[in-house]
Amino acid sequence: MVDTGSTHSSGMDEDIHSTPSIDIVNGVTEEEEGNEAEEEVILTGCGATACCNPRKGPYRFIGLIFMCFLGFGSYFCYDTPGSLQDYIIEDMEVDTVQYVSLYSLYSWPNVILSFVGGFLIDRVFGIRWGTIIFSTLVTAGQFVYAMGALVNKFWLMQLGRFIFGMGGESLAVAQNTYTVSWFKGKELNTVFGLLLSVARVGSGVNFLGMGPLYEWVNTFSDGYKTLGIALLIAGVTCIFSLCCAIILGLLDKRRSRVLHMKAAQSGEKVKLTDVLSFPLSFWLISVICVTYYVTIFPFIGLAKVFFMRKFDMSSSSANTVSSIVYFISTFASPIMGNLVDRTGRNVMWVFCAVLLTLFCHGLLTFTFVNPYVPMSLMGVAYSLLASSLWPMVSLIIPEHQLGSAYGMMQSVQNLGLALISMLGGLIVETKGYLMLEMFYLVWLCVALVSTVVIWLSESAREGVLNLSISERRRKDEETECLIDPQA
Amino acid sequence: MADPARELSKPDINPDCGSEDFCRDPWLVHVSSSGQNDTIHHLWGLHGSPSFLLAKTPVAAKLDVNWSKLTAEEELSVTFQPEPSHVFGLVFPHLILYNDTNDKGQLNRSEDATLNLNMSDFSWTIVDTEYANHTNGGWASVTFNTTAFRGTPLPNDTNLSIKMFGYGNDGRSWKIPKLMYTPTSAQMELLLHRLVLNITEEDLEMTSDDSISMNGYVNPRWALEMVVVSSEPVVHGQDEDEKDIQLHQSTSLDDENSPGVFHLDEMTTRQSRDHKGSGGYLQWRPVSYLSDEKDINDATEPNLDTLAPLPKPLTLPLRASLAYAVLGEKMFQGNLSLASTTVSFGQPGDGFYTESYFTSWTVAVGEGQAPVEGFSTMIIVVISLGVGIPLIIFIVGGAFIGYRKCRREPSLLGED
Repeated sequence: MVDTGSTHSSGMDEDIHSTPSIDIVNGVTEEEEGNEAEEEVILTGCGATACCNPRKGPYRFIGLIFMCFLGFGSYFCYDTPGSLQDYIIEDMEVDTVQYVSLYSLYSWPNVILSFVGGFLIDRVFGIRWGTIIFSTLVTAGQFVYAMGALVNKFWLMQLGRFIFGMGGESLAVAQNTYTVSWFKGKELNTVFGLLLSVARVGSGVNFLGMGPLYEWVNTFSDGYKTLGIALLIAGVTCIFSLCCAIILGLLDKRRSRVLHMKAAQSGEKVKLTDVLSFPLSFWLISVICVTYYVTIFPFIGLAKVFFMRKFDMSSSSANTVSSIVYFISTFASPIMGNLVDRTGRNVMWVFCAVLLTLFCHGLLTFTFVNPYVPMSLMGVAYSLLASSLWPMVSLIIPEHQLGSAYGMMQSVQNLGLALISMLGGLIVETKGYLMLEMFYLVWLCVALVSTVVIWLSESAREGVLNLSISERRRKDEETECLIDPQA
Repeated sequence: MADPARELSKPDINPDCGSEDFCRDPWLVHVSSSGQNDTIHHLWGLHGSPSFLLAKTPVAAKLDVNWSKLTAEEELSVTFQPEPSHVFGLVFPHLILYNDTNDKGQLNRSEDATLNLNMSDFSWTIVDTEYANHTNGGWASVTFNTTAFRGTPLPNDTNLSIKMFGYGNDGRSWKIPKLMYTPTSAQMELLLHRLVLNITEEDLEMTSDDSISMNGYVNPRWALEMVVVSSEPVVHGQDEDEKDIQLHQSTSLDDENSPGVFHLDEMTTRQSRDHKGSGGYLQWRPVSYLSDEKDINDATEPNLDTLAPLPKPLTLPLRASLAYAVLGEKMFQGNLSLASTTVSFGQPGDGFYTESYFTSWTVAVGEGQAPVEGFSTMIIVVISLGVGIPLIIFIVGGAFIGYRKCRREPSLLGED
């Protein structure tokens, strides 16, 4: 599943000094103050035990577990094309260009949905039903996709991925909304870190598990039927996530009732006209976002066969190498987040991450070095970039416009992913993998140039993006002094 | 270093043959590639065991064909005046059907049942000749197709097809796997098209009926026996590394010309490895496409096994070949560098020959050293821009910022 567009609602804010980007925090506080005068809900019997008492820790912990696995199914199934690339191409008798459409069709609906996801949760469905609906879309999409394989109709597989895409990204927004509502305050960053790690594990497990699963199904089935059955079994994770969604809805309802809270809001106010007033730095950040991520996700989608052909790896080894990026990221993300939290200087870290990824792709292109090395480094670089890039948006965009800002970035990111996935498939087919890697290297160079431009522009006008934490604090104090000289 | 361009002659089919019936069969096709210091003669003959040779002679050497000796399969019926300094080429004595019991891909004679067919059982004809000559090079091609097997005409879509190319300049083939060529090289494109072997009571026959199980083999694959012949003297060393004709399998970073294939294999003679301008080589990408689209997703591997010296039973089929007509009895006297190998088409999991009833292989045969693959200009340009542009922006911008900071600081100090 596409990275951290999902975590934008609180901006993956491990940088504790950026202002919280959600109204929800303030909203809840006001509500609670207002309700002190009302009668407290009395909990009796079983409902009064710690596990069932929304006021107590264990209840929130149980809620956390369900929240973690809410997105597990969609993260697991997002990369099912990638882990089964050679089988899909063979069993469905498609070429690489058709194969990559399974990825681009995931991204296409999200070009629009990135803007309206928050709106749908806040105004149309509500958080609980919204989550269940999106989770249902994810499950339905995965099953249509699996059915397409079972009946040997590739267009049905493509339709399934489209439906899956409609639910996937919006589900992430819903997951974030729940998280912020339940864990506002100091725990929020830790919880987000945990959610991200679970997501990465889900993606990684897909690469390790789908190959052996396919091989096992192949012992009693054949061809496209094997593919269909394997994908159906993968769909069980989506059903599991759907159950989590339903249970979480119930837990949240109880919590709202007992704590007298309004239903959680995503707090994303999106006004398209806001977009016109965004500073240049924001657009450069968007450029970096697109040009960087198109060298990660579409690459992983095509990586399995690349490793098999260039490095003479077996099907399972190739999948293991693909999974390394995600597994390394599971551990590296919190560490990198902490690093950026302590040091600030986001632009510098973005530069380092892009440079490191450039080096990794360079190794893969121009050498026969064991791919474990560049892929592991890529996992580190990718974690570093996520931790340093997304918080930059909340540093330069005012709070009330953050919804639009993240929506815009997400939209552009998905557009880029959709187009570049398709182009990548075409390049592999006609010009081979070296040209594909060159293609990615070009995008990384564009990302690098954008980073350098931001760096220079921030240096020139003494902007905030590349300051260290202490320098930012000083600057905030100065600004406060200016606003309220008597403070 | 590029070879200078040569003048390529039009393919001469059965030179000085006359008007007998047999003159329509492809006994000998001659293409000459004339340079400044020598001439390379391409000699392609499909009678008996198909042979594809290159002979290097002085510039003005004349080809002499004794047709009565040639049709009688006698030695030294195709000669040059003066004699060639080097002869190198391929001979295919047998087509082998094997049952790949363990789905290994490569033929393993101890595990797999085999059925040897003599290539001399096929009758051939020339279906196409092309020729283009320019001042700075040119190319010529002749397409040979089988017409009958053991006297019985083959169905329309069942055939072995061999297309030979000769070149007058350096370049790269426009057909995937786009091997490089030089004025002293030829390329062979081999197709095994719908070869279904039927064992009837009376005889073997080739048919296109895919419902027939080939000799009862469950996992049928085709292989070609290939003998690499060279006029170079044998140097008596018996170690693996000391063999006269060696097989090298190497990795290749650039798969632009053969998407998905990161290997390049070669077979070289001793003189070719000495890098003195003589010797012979084969060069190919280890890929066999299973359809005309030449898509890597629909491909298998041509497996070559370790080269062995000439096994005795091969002398008879080899005596009925153009190679024998050129090199003579010396081939069997242990003085010339020869090696025999099998090219078996298959890789685990590809579904065997019966999956697509089609196999192809392209190989370059040449005099001298094999061309060295390198990155295309586009890649070099992209790398230069990709490294150069960020570097320039960083250096210029950084210098600019540094300069501005330096200018600011002295004035701050000055205001104390």
